[in-house]
Amino acid sequence: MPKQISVWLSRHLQVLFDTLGRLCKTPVTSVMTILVLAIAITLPMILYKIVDSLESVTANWIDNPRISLFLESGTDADNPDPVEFGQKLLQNPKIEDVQYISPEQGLAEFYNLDGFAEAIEALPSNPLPPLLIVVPATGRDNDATIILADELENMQGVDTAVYDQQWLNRLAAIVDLFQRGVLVLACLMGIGIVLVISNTVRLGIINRAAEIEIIDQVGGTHAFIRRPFLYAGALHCFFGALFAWGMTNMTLYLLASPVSRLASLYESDFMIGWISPGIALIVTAVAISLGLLASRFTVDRHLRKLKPG
Amino acid sequence: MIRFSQVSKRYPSGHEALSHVSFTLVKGSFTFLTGHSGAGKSTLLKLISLSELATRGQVLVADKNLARLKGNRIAAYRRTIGTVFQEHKLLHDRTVEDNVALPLVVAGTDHSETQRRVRAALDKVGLLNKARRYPITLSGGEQQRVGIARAVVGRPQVILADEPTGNLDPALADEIMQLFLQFNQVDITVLIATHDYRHLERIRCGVLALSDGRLVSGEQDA
Repeated sequence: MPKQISVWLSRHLQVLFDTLGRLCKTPVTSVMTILVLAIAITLPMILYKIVDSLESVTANWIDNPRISLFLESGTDADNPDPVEFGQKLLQNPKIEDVQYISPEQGLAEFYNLDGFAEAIEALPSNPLPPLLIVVPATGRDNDATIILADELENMQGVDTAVYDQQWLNRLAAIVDLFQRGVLVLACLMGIGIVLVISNTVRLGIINRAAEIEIIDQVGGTHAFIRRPFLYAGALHCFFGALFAWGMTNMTLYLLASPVSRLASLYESDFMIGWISPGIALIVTAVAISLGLLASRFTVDRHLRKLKPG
Repeated sequence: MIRFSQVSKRYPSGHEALSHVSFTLVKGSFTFLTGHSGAGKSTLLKLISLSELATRGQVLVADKNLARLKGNRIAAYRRTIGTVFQEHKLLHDRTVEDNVALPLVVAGTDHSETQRRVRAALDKVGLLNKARRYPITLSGGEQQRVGIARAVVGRPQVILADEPTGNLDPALADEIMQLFLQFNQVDITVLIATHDYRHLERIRCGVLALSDGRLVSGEQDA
């Protein structure tokens, strides 16, 4: 290893360990500061993960809308055979796929749901109409899907065509709202980190004012004076992000079982999941950058006073 | 080595600490800077150590115009100057050897070389056996010697001392002066601010006398 690099490396390692040592010397203050940072990072991370999971589910629904086509029930000669009717629909270029659910299949599905078994047994006959699930080729084009649903409803043998877009639109709007919320919270988190680090570094500078003055006098460059404070800012944020990762996953773990119970009531296998190492890495990098920025700004403000005047 | 030409220093408060001061100190000279307190001694030293900038006139040290130095060149310049303060200015959370090593550490000198030079400097001031002690456990005279060791460890071209014997009894003060004379013998330019006239009588050297910010005796040639 060239000598300059090894000198540079050993200097940085020395500052790193010196800064770690200082953090350990005042454990209560350090842990409190780190926890404040961790909480500031945790809140948007949790919300992000919830919104992210919700979005992956709803995007699937919104991107793949369905029209439920309830056919006239009974064996009227006028009414077409549901399977043949489905085949006919497939020739329509605006329709991508058709799936037939017979009244018997429908009844069986209900039968498996909580509390329905007894009610169904009490029924004299199967009240369910034949059902065709139509997958339109219109994708996210909501208006086109509505027109298609109207067309289908007017066809011979169709009782009603249900295109239940309204609640999906509401859900999408809620998800959008939460996404905006994550963004706002993340910005507040950033401001919080900058303020906490600025204040921590400012106190550090006050504590070490004599040392800074002497180092300046004996020919220490501003980079040399700045270095331990940059490390302090970065280390606080690094540990803050690390704690935040742990706290977020712990929160998600606590939420997991109620969420899956709620989801099962909606017949969904929705799960929130964990914060991936990739996201944790990005959050850590952003936090460290903000920490560096804040400490750099704070130290430079102090260093301006050291300039000969 | 050090040349002042028509140097004035006015502080933002309006107080003119120095006015039209001109002198030249040649390399390897030993000079006392005298005057009543408030005469401008400290200001003059601060102009040389680049803690302050002249309001008017030119300060040249080793042919460098100090007003032109910016950023890291200020730091690099200060490494060529060893400064001894009356109040020592030692770091009390570091050992004697760490205090002395500071100018080498900031200069990025490698570890073994730093060790060697710190020991040499401490040996010179007679404190090698107290290298691991903390400054607070040392007497005033010893602390001042630590400050001197720190000033010379970087092998400066110039040593500045502001009232280095101000708080010491005469015997200790003489010891400290002997140290400065020894450094002067290896061609280091020494400038000492003092109001202790005893030294002036004993040591043959140049004298710059300030009164109310004006040079009243000393070399006026610049």
